[in-house]
Amino acid sequence: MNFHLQPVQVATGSADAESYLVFTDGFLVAVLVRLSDQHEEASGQWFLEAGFGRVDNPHPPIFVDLDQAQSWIADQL
Amino acid sequence: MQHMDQPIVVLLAESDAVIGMDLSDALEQAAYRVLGPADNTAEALRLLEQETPTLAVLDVQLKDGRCTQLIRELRARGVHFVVHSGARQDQRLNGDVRGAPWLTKPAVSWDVIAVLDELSLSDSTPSQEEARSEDAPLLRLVQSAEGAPNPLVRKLERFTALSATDRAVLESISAETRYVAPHTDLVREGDEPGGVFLVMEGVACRHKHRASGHHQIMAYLLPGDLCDLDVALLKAMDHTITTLSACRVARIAPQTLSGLLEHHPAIARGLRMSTLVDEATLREWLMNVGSRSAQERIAHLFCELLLRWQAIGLASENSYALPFTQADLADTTGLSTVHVNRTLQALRRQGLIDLKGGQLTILNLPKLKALGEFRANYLHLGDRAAA
Repeated sequence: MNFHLQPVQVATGSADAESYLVFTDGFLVAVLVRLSDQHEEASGQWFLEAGFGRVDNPHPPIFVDLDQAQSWIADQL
Repeated sequence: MQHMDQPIVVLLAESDAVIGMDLSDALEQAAYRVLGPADNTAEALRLLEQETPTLAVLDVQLKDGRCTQLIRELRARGVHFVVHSGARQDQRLNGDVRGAPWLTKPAVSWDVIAVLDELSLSDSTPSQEEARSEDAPLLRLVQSAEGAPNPLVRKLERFTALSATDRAVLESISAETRYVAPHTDLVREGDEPGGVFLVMEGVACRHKHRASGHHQIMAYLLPGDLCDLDVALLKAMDHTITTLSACRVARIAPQTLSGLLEHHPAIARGLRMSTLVDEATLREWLMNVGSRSAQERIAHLFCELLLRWQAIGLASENSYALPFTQADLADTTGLSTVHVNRTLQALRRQGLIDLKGGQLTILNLPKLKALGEFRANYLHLGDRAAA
């Protein structure tokens, strides 16, 4: 699977802004947002802000790093 | 037996200095004498050498590592302890802490105090349950409940006029309570319902869970709330009831309840009204998860809880206990914990709420109500006055 990550800023209404659009094979499948210091032990980790199609999840996970996020996304697809 | 004017001595071992100080203050306010807080095992052992406490509150992982030696020394001295730890609860089965009450850190201080109260009572009445329920009054509860009306009586009186006999009957069915630790299932989905649970202190919830383990909380049961008036008609529970905080709970046998409904029409009316309010509340919660934004959901819930705590005399004009974790709020409102956290921060930033140490203060009630489009009609709190 061919992943492409494009850095963006997302207006989450909080200090969480640093984000990536995640594309696989040219399609947007997810938006990952880096959790700010507001989130204590989860700060610095990556939150599935949005998932599209099979990546959508009612209980969006938090990933320790981008590698873990991509491997989870690959599992869903 | 511990004498009332001699404070019970508690050793407090806590790696986080701020949590340690907060907890120490809370324990002292609850008339315990605190040794510590010690943030490392060496310090805790030194305190233990100087004076043997009656009880201890332990964070298992201290600044200098896991406090295995401290646990061994406490066991050797017969000192009961409560584990207050951020470690996963499934580790509670591990060797040296087996059997000790376990609170997930940071616990609301009243939970810690409730567990210590329970341990101190079991220490002073070794002859167990029977002796406790009949002879030894629950010291702190009796003190705190003095003059405070029974929450069930108080709640039903919002709906209907009760006679002195009605009140006495309600007092008697709710007199025999037992302590239940936080996050304990009272009855599980699939179980045969063996009676109706009545919460007298603390907060429990109804919930259902998915195979993945994710929960949806469908109701909070506050003091005076009982679960499912007619549950005895069912063969098996279709949801689970679990304590969120430490609770005092009474179990009412189905025969007792049917007797109440048959012979005490005012109580029957009050209980049926309360069932209608439970259903109306569920409709509002459904509106929450289906039709309101994250901020609107939390605003609505906080307004509802203020009125519900006030109705049983357990909230001030604008402040009440919120003994839930962010994960509990997430499971209630259908949000992620990330969104709950962002929402709480946003409500703080707007000057609407303050949330500290499990106590929520609503700083601007009119604005919070407007945000959540909160109308109290579904709680039917003024019905008796209107009738």
